[in-house]
Amino acid sequence: MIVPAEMGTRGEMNQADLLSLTGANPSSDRFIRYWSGRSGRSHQEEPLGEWDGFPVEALGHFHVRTSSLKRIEALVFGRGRPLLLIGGLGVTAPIWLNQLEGLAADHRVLIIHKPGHGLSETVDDLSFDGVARTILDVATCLGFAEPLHVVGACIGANVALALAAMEPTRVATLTLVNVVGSESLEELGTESKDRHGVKALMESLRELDRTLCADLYRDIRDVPRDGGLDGKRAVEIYENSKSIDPLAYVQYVVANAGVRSSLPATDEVRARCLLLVGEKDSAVDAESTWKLRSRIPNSICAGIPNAGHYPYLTRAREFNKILRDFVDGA
Amino acid sequence: MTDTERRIIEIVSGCLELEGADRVIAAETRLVEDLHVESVQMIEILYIIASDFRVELDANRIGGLRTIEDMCRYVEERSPRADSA
Repeated sequence: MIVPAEMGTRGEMNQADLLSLTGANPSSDRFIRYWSGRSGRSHQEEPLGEWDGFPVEALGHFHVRTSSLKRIEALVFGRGRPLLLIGGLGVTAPIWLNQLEGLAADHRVLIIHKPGHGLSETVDDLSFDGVARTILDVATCLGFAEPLHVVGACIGANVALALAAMEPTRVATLTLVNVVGSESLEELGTESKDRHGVKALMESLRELDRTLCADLYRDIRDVPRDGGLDGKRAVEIYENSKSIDPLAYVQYVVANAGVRSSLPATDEVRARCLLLVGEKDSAVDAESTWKLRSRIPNSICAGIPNAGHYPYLTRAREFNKILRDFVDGA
Repeated sequence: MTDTERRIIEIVSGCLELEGADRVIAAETRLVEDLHVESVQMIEILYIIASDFRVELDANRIGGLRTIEDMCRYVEERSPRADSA
């Protein structure tokens, strides 16, 4: 077992408890299924476990006490340029499995479960700015002092954008994958509702979930035969990565949907920015991403043809190559 | 049992289509752990409570509404319609 020198172990850090530090294999069934059904229920301290087989020298699984005294879960893999991955609403670490396998050999990959996800407790402020502050808090606590290469997907991209606008010096590069435009969030409108309005909101949210699912299945079906995708495995990863406290889900909806100013002051972003879209994303309109480019200085766009909402899962080779070229070219 | 508690139990049991809810749900019942409420069901429950009692949903407080009792307290602090009769 190798302990990253700059990270330390339990007792050496002020606020982070190390749950396990192992040669763990994220491709294992245990890793993929670890978070499923756990969020929002009483915390189970069962460690991820000790396994062999992953060609990355260390995995740290942490609970970090933030300045608000809430416990946030984080995982650290590998060694190299620091790469922070922020997932979309409701998903946890397994969704990034292909990036761990493809990038953690020469990057230090940090996955922070947003409040209310996985074993992370929820916090009061779940606005994008509030979540960004929590994530920065955790990264700092874990000793990530140098500027981070930040990757956010879906509303994780909105959080990443808020983070880059809030603390420009902490961000080396910014990659926004299928970022949710402010129009999409406004359409959900969450002001007070009568019963008919509540049913309509619920139906919108269920429809969104169905759309994301259908998007994933279509994406898997359309992948080229030599694309290296195991469709059954991708679905298993997607389904098992879902882990959100239902109360936190409502909090995210109330705090961010229907909010007119849900995109931060994008002209504050200083880092080079890559706007990456799956060109067949059914849930997020690629057009809103193209519009965002004109609002973020120093940004470029890239599309992955025939990819939907989860290009990092279904088009991992292409996704990882684009991301690696962008990050390592910084 | 207060009127507020009775009404909130009715709403929760209605949303979850539970029969005999008064025997299943008590003040200390936890929505996620005990009743297995899922995300979109939680939206329905909280929005209907907000609508019925004419209270605003405060995003900063939602995370603390883990039990029926938590919900009663939240409503009673804010609603002119809630009472502790």
